[in-house]
Amino acid sequence: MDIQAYISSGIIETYVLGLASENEARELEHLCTQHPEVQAAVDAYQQSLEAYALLHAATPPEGMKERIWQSLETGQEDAGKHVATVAATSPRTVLTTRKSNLYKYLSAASLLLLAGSIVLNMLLSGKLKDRSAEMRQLAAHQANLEEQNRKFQSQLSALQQDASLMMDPSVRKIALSGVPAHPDMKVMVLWHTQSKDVYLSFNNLPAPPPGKQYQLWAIVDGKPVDAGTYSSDGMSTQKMKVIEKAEMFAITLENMGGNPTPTLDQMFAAGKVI
Amino acid sequence: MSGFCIFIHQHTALHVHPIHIESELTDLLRSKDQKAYNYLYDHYGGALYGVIFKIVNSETMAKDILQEVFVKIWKHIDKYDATKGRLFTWMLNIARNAAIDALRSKEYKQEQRTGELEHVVHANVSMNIDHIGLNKILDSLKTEQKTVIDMAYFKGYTQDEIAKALDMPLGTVKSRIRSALIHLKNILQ
Repeated sequence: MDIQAYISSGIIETYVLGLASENEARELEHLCTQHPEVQAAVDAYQQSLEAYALLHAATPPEGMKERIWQSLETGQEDAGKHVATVAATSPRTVLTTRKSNLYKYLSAASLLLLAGSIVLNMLLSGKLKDRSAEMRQLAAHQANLEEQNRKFQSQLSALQQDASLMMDPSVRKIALSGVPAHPDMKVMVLWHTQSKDVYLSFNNLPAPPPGKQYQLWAIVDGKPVDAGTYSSDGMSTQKMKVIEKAEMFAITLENMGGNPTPTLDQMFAAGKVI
Repeated sequence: MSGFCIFIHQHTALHVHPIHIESELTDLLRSKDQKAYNYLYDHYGGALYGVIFKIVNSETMAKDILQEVFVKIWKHIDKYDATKGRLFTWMLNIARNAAIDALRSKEYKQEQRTGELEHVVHANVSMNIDHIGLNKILDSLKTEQKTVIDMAYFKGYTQDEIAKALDMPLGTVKSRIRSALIHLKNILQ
């Protein structure tokens, strides 16, 4: 069995999330005992999930520590207590025959009380349910707002960064226009004249198909030079490789991770450095 | 990296001064005395409660489930097998399973009764984040990666169920889970 291939097959990730089938889990646990590297991979993922879980840690409400300890302590006694109450109730039936009248009244009264308490319970629990549904709705609403706020903040800081690049007089702007097959493609390459840093900025980038990625090329003396792959979400500007000189820039769609040479029929946009 | 530091700072007890390593803690728990309980509660109570709360998003439910989880840990510590995984992972899995089970039976009852509340509960579980370290780390996870991890880890969805819920091929779900876990491993360790 090729252990490296097994490790990178995705089965360990499936297993640590508790998603593996019983057979898969059994095989993996067996392999762990045979191959320390499998065990190490499982440990590493389990530790990262532990750390992820810890990120959500929250102090339990007041009094829980004592409440739980009490239930642990009485956990043993509970079983015994149950037997004791059963034993204690059984002789009482003998007495009831003698004082049956009194018991009749008492049981009628207690049934009435019980019925009253059930009605009250139903009323109150109905109200409680309404309240907790409202609470949940509010909490969900608040979480949505927080999420939106976070999104706006990160978009804003990305825009601020873009703006400062755009305003910088020592940054050259090279517009790449879409090839005839992709006329809508609008790409901007920002090239710092001193640091030679290259930034890539998209507008309305169509999402690449799964397993594909856009790659930027600098054309230097007529030859394409890899300027890095674009892994951002299509909305933000990404810093690419440093390019000392170029006559042209071009974008192609390549397999994930990029290619050493461009796939020419996958050219999306190109533009000359003026 | 800054997220990592904040995280260490908040959980000093567990990471910087491990008074008991896991094998010692296992032995201590098997003694079942109050000292063992105190240690367990002080060091793991918050983590277990946090995970439970993240799943059920209700203090009342989370309190009951936390108690149930401690009872289970207490009862079954003799069955814990260190060769099959880490002690903390084992405890977290007990907490996750108990919370997911409780949530599912509650949702089931609510569906029976109204059918309306379900989406509220679902919307709820997905987001409840309130501290800085967490935000920073989660921000560096892509939303799509976080979604699949949370669906699997906090909702107990199978990969098939995730694929159906997100309407994407199973292969994509698998590769997202993998890349998300690799990313987590890189930022958290």
